[in-house]
Amino acid sequence: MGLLARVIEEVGIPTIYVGSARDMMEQVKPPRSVFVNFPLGHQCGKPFDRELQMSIIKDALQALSTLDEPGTVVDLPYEWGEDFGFGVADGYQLPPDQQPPVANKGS
Amino acid sequence: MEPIKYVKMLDELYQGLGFPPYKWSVFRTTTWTPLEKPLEKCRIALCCSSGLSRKDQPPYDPYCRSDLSFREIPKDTPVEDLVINYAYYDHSDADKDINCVFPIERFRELEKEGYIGELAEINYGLGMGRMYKRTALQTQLAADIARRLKGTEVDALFLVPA
Repeated sequence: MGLLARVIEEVGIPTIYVGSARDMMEQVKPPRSVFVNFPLGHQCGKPFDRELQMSIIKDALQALSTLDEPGTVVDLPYEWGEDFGFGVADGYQLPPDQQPPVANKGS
Repeated sequence: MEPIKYVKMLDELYQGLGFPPYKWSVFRTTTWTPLEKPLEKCRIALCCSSGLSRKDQPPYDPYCRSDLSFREIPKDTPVEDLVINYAYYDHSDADKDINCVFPIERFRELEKEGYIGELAEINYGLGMGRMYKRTALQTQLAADIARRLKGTEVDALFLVPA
């Protein structure tokens, strides 16, 4: 999605990227982004918490309209309230038709 | 808490499953277009990459890889008509309230209160999944969406990655 943001911006449309994976954002450098330190799947807030969602979205829109340095990641001040993990279920397995192509061949 | 190190965790997960190391895109610089209008005059489109579609559209494969298709989501789509098919993170909260990742109701409210000019008529759901076609992602999918945004005079794109 960071790559997509870069292309869209390159052809003349400003973007704002609302992400929760800060290390990925630092690598791919979307033109403008805000970081929300929440579990994946909650970049715009908690379910049915309209006030929180609106606050995050408005912060993102302010970043869209005010940032002037390409590649800036703005850390938004929201806290999830408890520790959280990766977001992929434990014991994650790929389905049979998605196994790695010729895994470990030659190694 | 400290931000989770997703790159390291994903590398460990997939290399543990037998995949070769993933070639992350790493850049020193980026692209830039200034926003020329105040927010209250902007037409803004939403784009979410969580395998998001309308229930009357073909669903995404939850385990999709390099899926370069998109689904058009009209601005008046009722939230109960939207669905996420995605295996790469826990979206149980977003299933209950899609605004967690695709804040279409909030943007309709922002339009009504005049905070933004308007929500675009057409918004976008993407699948993508694990992406091994980065050139095509840029030259096909991103270029196609860029053309559509320009053709409908969208002023800015609000992106929520999965």
